[in-house]
This record gives sequence, C-alpha cells and structure tokens, in this order.
Amino acid sequence: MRSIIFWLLCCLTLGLTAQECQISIKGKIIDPHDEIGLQYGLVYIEETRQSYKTDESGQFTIASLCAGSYHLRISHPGCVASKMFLKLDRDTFLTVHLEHHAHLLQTVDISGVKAQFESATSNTIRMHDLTQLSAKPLGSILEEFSGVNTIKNGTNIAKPVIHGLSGNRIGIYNQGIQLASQQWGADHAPELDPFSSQLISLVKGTDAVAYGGNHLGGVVLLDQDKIAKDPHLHGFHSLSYQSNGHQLGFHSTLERSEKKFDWRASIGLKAGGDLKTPEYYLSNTGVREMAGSFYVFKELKPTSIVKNYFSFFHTQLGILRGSHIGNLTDLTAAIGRDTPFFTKPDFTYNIESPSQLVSHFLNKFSWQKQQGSLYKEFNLAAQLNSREEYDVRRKKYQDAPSLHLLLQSYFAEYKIKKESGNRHWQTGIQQKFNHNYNVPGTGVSPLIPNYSWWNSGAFFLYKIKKENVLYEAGARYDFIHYIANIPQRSVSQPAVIKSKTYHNLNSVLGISTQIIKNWEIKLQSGFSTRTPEINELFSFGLHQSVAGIEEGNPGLHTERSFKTILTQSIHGGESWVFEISPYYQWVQNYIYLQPQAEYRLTIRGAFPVFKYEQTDVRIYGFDLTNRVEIFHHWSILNRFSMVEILRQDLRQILVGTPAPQILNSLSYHWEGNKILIHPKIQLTARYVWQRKGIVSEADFLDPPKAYFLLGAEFNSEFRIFNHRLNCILRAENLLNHTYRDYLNRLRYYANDVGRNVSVVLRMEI
Amino acid sequence: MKNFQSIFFYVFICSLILTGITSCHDDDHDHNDEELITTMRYTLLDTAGNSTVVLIFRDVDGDGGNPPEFVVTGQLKQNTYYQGSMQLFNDSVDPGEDITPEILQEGTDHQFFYGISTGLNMSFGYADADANGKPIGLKTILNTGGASSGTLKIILRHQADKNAAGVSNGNPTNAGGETDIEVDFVNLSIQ
Repeated sequence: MRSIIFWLLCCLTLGLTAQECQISIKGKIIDPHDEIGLQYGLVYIEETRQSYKTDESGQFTIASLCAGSYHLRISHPGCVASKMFLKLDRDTFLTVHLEHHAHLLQTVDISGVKAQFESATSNTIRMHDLTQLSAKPLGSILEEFSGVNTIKNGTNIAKPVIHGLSGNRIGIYNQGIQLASQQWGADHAPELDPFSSQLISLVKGTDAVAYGGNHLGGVVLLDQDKIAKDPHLHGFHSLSYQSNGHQLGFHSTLERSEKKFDWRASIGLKAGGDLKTPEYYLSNTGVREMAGSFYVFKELKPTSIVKNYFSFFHTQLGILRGSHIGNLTDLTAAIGRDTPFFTKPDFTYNIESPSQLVSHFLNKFSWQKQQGSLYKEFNLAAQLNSREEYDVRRKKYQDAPSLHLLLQSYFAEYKIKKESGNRHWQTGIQQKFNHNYNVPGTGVSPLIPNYSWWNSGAFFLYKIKKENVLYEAGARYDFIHYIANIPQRSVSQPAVIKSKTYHNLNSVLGISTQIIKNWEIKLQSGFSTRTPEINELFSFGLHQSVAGIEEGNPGLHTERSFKTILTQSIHGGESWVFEISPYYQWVQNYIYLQPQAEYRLTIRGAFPVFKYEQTDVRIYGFDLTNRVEIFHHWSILNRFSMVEILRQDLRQILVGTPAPQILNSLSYHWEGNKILIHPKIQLTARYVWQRKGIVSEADFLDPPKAYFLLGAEFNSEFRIFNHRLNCILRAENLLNHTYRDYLNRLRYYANDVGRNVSVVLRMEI
Repeated sequence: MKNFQSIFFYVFICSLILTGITSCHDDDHDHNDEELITTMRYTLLDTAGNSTVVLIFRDVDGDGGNPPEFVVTGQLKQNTYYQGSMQLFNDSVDPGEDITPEILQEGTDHQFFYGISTGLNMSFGYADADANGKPIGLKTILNTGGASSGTLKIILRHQADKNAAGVSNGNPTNAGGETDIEVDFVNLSIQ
C-alpha cells in the first residue's frame, strides 16, 4: 500500500475585498487520473475544528472564515489524507488532486526525478502514509514490496533479501549514503531506524547505478521528505506496545520551517523482553534501541540549498541463549530438542550473553545548486560503526566482547543532473574510504582482519522519452582496493599485509512503454559486477553460528551478473491493477560457502571446514501483484513471489533460497462518523511453501514445513479535543500457529514467535 | 564562496568527530586467544603409587592451522585403581597459563564427562564436588578391568545443567551447555 498526493493549488480571487470573517474557501477534490470529482471527501480545518463534506461532483464550500492562517486536512476513504497550510486574506478556490487510487499503484517513484523519468523498476513507500507500518522493523517494512523476503536471526535481527540476494549484494542507502557496517554477517541487522526517514524506496533498475556497483540484487533507499513551508511546529508522537515480548516503543518527529532554515528532528526508543513461541519463551531475545536524527535544510539563494543530516542509532540485542553452541555435538543435540536448552519458564526484560551491542553514527552534508535545467549536487558524509558481540564465556572474560569492530567510513561525491524537455541525464564521481579496526581486548583471534578499503567510482545515466516510449541507459565504473592486515595463527609470526585490486563495470539498459492505455510494459537488462566482500576474501576462524571453521579465499574473482526484468502492468478500469514481473539473472562466479570434505580437529572436537568457492548460478522467478477495489469500500490484495537459485554445475538449488509465498488481504474501509474517522478493517493471510530442492547433505536440517499465518488489523482515526489520534490494533499470527521459517537462522534451535497483538497510538500535532 | 566555506567547515567537523574517537594503529599483538584452551593433560596415578599414565592433547595454534597432537605416556594396567587429575593450559600465550584453577573456581559452571567406549574395559567415578555438591571432574577415579582397547572421550561442558537426569553420574546427554573440550583418545589399551 502506498500513495501519492499531488497538489495543485489554484488561488483565484473571487471577491475584491473580503469583509472580516466573511471569507470563503471553495474547492474541489479530484482524482488526477480522470479529473473526476471525488464524493465522500472530507475537509477539516484545524483552527475552527469544523469539517466539510464534498458533494457528488467533489466540491466543497467553507464559508464565513476570518482572515488568518489555517491548517487544512483533506481526506477521502481509501486515500491517504493530505495536509496544507494556507494564509487566507480573500476568497479562495482550491483544486486538490488526491491520488484516490494511489494504493493501487506500486511502480511509481516520487523521490528525485520527475514522474516522466521514473525508472521502470523502482517503488517508494511514504512512511507517513502507512500508519500500519508503525513500530515495525525495516525488514518487515520492506516486505511490503513484492519480491522482498527477509533473512532473520530471531525476530529483532532481520535483513532484506531482494529477488533471492542479500548481504552486500544489495545496498542500503540512508539519505543517499551507503550504510557502512558489517553487512557480511547474516546475523548483523542494518543499523538504522526506518522512522527517521519518510521515504523508503526499492530500486531494482537503472537508477541503482547512481549509487554503487556491488548491488546485484537492488538498492534500498531511505530519504527525507520535504519539510512543509509552515511556520508552526508539526509532527507526530507515537506510542506502541507489542504483547509478544511486552515491547514498548516511542517515536516522535517534529519539524518546523523557521525564518532562516527548516528543520526536522526525530527520536525513537524501544525496549522489549523475551519473545514467546506458542509453547515456550525464547529466552534472551530482548531488545533495546535508541535512535535519533536531526535534519536541517537551508535555502541560500532561490537556486541553491544546503542540507545536513545527522543520525545516531544504538541497539542492544539478545541472542537466543539456546542457540549458542560449542561444537557439532552441541548443534546436533540442540536440533533434536523440542524446547531449546536454557529455556526459562518466565518472561524477563533482561538481556544476557550472547548479545550484540551496536552503535552507528552518520553525518551527511549536502549542497545543491540549480542553474536553469542543470542541477549540481555535492555530498560529504562520515560514518562510524561500532559492533560488540558478547558470548557466554568464562567469568574472567565475561565482560569482554568476543568481537569488537570499529568501522569508519568517509564519502564524497559530485553529481550533475540535467533535465531538458524529453531528455534527462545524470553523471557523477564518488570516492569512498572505509577503515575497519579490531579493537583490542577481546581475547579472541579476530574473524575479520583490520583492513582499509578504497572505492573510486564514476557513473553516467541517460533517459529519453520519445512519444510513448522511455529509453534508459546507465553505466558505472568502480576501482576498488583492499589492504588487509592478516594476523598469523602462530604467536611468533608477525601479521602479513595483503592487498587486492578490482575494476568493476556495471551497465544497464531499459525500455518502458504503454502498449495500449491500460497496458504498460517495462523491460530492463543490466550487467553488473560485485567485488568479493572482506569476509569472503580474508576471514579465518571458528564461526560459531555455522558450527564450522570458515576460511576466506583471497583468490576470489569478481561476480558478474546479467539480469533481465520484464514488468507488465494492466490497469482494468480505475479499480483494478494487475502486475507481473518475471526476471532472470545469470551470475558467473557466484560466491558461496561450501562445506569441505575435510574435518578439522580442534580441542572441541572435529569441525567441518567451510570455504568460499565460486560457481555459476541461474536465478529466476516472478513477482505477481493483484489489487482490486470493489464498491469503493472493499479492497483485495494478492501478492505472490517465487525465486529459484540454481547451481549450474550440480543442478541443485542453493542453500538459503527463499521459499515461494503468497499473501492475500481483504480490507474494508468506510467513512465512519464524527468520532471514528475513515476506519479500516483488514484481514491478511500468508502462506509460505516448503523450500524444495535442497539436498539434505547441504544443510544440518531439512527446510521446515509450509505454514499459514493469519493477521488482522483495525485502523482508525479519532478526533480528541483538537488532536487527531490514529489508533492501530494489529494481530500477527492470530491463530498462534507453531511454525519455523526457512530464512530464520534460529530455525535449527527453536520455533518462530507466536501470536503478537500490538497497539499503536499516533498523535499528529 | 560562502558555500565553500561551509563545505570545508563540515569536512573539518566530520573528520574531527571520527578521528577523535578512533586512532588507528594496526597492531595485532593484542589479539591473542587469551581464553583458548590449547592443552589438556589427564594424569592417572596408580594408587600403589608406582606408575603413572599421562594422556595429553595439545593444539598450540588453536582452531584450524596445524593439526593437534596426542601424546600418551605409560601403559594402563589390568585391574588397577587410578587417581585421575585433569589440568588445562593455554600455551598459545607466552608464558603459558594454567587454566585449571579458573575451572575449579567456577566449578558450578563446569563439568567434565568421561565417555568409555564399549570395547574398553574400564569404569570411572567423580572424586570432587562443586559448591552445590555436584561433580566437576577435575579429580576422578578410574578402575581398569581385563585387557582390552577402545576410546576414551573427554568432554568439558560450560554452563551445563548439572541437575538434569544422569548428568551427575557422568552422562552428558541431557546436560546442554557449550562444549569447551571434546577430545577422543582412540586405541587406548589396557594390558
């Protein structure tokens, strides 16, 4: 569900001089697609606390207003409400374009370039519009996009998987800056608070080349929305509670347009305890989180602006105690159990070892200048990421982390964009530098060495619209250089310095057209490359989570991929959208972790050795979305996605390939009354098939059985005093079904979480 | 020009914040495996006091790297009572560290298990106790039977559930916890 609001404001002077308190606002709410007026619309004036309905032709009249400033809120059932600030001194006529069928559309991007240059395969979610996403982690928010799954480690650690690819095969960009963190770990969640941003986009097509080279799967963008030119303080506060884990959350965002600059600040807090499966508590799965951001926007001249964004993120995450194992015997014993070891009978908020303590800081400065149709942008950013992982250890070492990494990252870029008529081009150069440092004092040999990483990149993007067809082309070059300081296993030997250099090329071509009025076709083909990640090259040591000894392979080559996506959208009338996008990706030198035939004997017994190897794989699948609106009140959503990652040599499905799944939801929304405004009830059913085709020798445990989850949600707006209160009541896993998910790494040890009822209260100010 | 001033100002601030927090020295001398157990020495003393058998497992460079070595000195005799004592060392650091006192101190968190394969004619019992009266296994009694050979599996579990069924009698099946040591002495013979 997403929506867009287009504003078109026409101020027409109707009277010459308005007498005091005799000013009127007349207007019309229309659907931008067919210019038809929308009945059942509601215009609410915050200052007078009056609301006005639109008639059959979508028109409304507000009479007898005094001169002054007014905040208007325009809403319609099934649409996302829209706000506007007005200085009224005479009779005014408003034309409001409300995107009535907004939630029917998925493939439109509103951030960045104008709608006519939309990349064929990018989608955006406006966080503010989607109250149902409140208090959800980034992983779950991204699941709103078709073709996205999540790899989890429990519930609090979730990483997106786009078209079967994850980790550093996809890029996460916070305010245009690639999140610099230890993304090589499947149990390392992205270190950001999605509610510090207002726009979340998923880019699978050409626009991705403007960001970075390594992203074979796609790019996730989190951005700031514009700050409204409103001199009053606005924003929202939200409070949330989740029954499972008794998790409490608070979030507050405030913004204001000052005389000299505009600002927006946000703060988020979260605290939760042990989660619960239908049968038992998942001991030590609590979470603490604190995040905040401060964004300043200043217009230097009408044509140039500066922006600065600062954010911090701290989290402490408990890892299921029963998943902490010493060797293969422990793993086998843990797999064979009904209830994990160390399961406590009672709930607790306490977090003990094993746990993670992660902090992230980001500061981005941006300068933009417009010269006619030429648009220049200069960005600078610095990030600091600290990751501490605590294991169960002997008391002497209990307070020391087993892993303590400090990553610094610096970034500079210069971009030029030009839009003229039917052409659009963009070019830029980028420079990144990362430095990773193992903080001493862990008492454990580091799995990842200290290293420095340079990346110089340049890209070019060109789009042209001829008649009904949009042609897109993009190319990118990256120079990547690693210098790693590899410690030797023997005490007496000094560390060895190893370096690697890569030259990467990416290119993409796209074409989109409207064959007939209601049938759109978009075709994108791209060649992209990915440099091996630091752990794939140089990791060495015992990796507890895989119960194996992991060995990096410095001889790895770049992954090369060729991907084609064909998206077809059919709009049947105004209330039906059907979209299907099959894709095919061929990856040469796909890097994966291969269990070796050899076992290495240690004091904890024999461990299997895992080495990074390369093979050719084929990835194919399709995403299907179907949205129907019936009688203005009912809407139906069906979403299906499947992906297969096939090893070419063995004709086997790769471990970790997501299982097919289908999501169906039915919602009913109506006008409501004076107290309940635009309420909505939604039922969601999700079915996930069993992952087939994995040979049993490839994994410790066969993929879990298929499962079916039911969810329900009630969502409405209340008007209390002069404040709007949005209330969401949501139940996930309503039937308290016992299941395990293939992409949850804790599936070896425990069931997934049971029923979770959450309440979110959101107050707009 | 004003723009450039602010740009440089921010470059300065950004770099100041981060370099202030981290000063990068790439020395790895501090990354020793301090917690590592490299060496296990199980000494069996004949109760008559006239002979000892020592079973040693040693892997000085830790997990991976060079393979570990097994050393067995002395010969187990038939129908003999032995007093067993277990010692653990970290020899990857210089000087080497005796970890045994640490294990004893955290006795309630540790327990050794001695698994005797069916072929080996031998029985064992615990000869020590932690603060709760449960066995630790640093001190043991071994009683050999007739001539035979087989495998002795020595396990050290951290944070095992000592109250679980069979655990106090030396059966690790229900113990849980993390395995810190699991070493097999194969082809151990009693003559």
